[in-house]
Amino acid sequence: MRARTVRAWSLVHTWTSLVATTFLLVLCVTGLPLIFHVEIDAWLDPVPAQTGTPPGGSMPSLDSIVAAALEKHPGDVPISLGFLQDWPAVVVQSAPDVRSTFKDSHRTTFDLSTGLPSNARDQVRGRLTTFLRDLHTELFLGLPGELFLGAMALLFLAAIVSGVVLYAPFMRRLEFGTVRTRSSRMRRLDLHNLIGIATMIWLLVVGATGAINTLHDIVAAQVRTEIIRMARSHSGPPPAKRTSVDAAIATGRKALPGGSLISFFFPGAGFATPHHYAVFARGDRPITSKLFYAALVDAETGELADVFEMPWYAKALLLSQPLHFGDYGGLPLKIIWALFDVAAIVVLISGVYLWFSRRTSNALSSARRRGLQAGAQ
Amino acid sequence: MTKSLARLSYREIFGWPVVLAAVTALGLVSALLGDGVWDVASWLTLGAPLAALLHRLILHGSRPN
Repeated sequence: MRARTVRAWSLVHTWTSLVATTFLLVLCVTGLPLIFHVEIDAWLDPVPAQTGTPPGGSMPSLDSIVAAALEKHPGDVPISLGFLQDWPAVVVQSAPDVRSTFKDSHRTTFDLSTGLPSNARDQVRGRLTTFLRDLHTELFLGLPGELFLGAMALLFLAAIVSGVVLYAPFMRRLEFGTVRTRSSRMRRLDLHNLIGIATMIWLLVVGATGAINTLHDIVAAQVRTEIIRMARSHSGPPPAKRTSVDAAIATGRKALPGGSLISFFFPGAGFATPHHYAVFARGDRPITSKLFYAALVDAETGELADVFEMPWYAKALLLSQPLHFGDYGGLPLKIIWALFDVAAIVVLISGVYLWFSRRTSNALSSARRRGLQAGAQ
Repeated sequence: MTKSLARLSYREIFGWPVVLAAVTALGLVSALLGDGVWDVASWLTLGAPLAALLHRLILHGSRPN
């Protein structure tokens, strides 16, 4: 590699990483506990033992659960049902209007086996981890914060690629894994290079999937538009009378791959059309279980209207989530994720140190040069 | 280890990094493909670059230069 090429890559590496470092450190530090958010939430807010099925043994219907939620919030219309992944519980969302904002809506959690209100949702979303997640995903700034962090993730990717390119000239005369201890700067440089190159694929994958995840809200809005566009051929006026929620879910599930239920939307709300219920479920294979499938069910007749697979970009986003969170291979994988995260922190901090110490030594040597010139005169 | 070497080829420079990268990639994908054995495979493969790092760092720590 020619000296000029090396200098150019070096500029790219220095500035992309310097601009992003502060934010990347925030992401690494907040991300570390978030890897274990399920464990932390369970530890901070233990969920009370399940109360079991009511005497008589029959499971309460979702229709009766929705009715109970509406009784608690008179004047509300039902918006959606959200099924918790690890607990037999459902969150009923209702609001004064189907298009009310999320903030104006009421969310009540019910135990699916007893039909009684439950606090399982608070357990799933602990206060500490919610705070960390808001900081990690959007710096408390909403969509602009998300997109800004997406840009930082892109800078991070450029920093990784340029770092890999620069690895070659730095290692021209060094065996893999060499850590020279002649000076502390040299030691840190070698550690920076070694840890960076050994973790590069993890850094690239977590950086790229992080960048993709920042588009979550935009993708969700686009998916909704697309579902409504595809459903337009079935669309009709708001239903005069609605059929049973339980029956609609049963109809929808028969048409979908057999994974767990995710959510259910009432006509006009969320991902549903004005005339249809929308049923969302996961697939039942290892990969499709990360994906969502949707069925539209006519809310007046209870008949299946259509089945949708997510568009490719939504699939890409959904598949990029486990690769960012590290939550797809049990606790050992989470621990491995945490170790990589710590390695990333070391690379970031040593990188800043190298930049800073080089600036100081450059300043020193030019001062020394000036001193020599002054002495020669 | 720190003896001055002749100029290394790209192949020599990137040999180990490419091996570690391939092993890491296998590990990242394997846990996506299934549970059980696939998860165990991902722990072992993803542990490899970390183990390599640890090995180098311990070796380095115990060998004052």
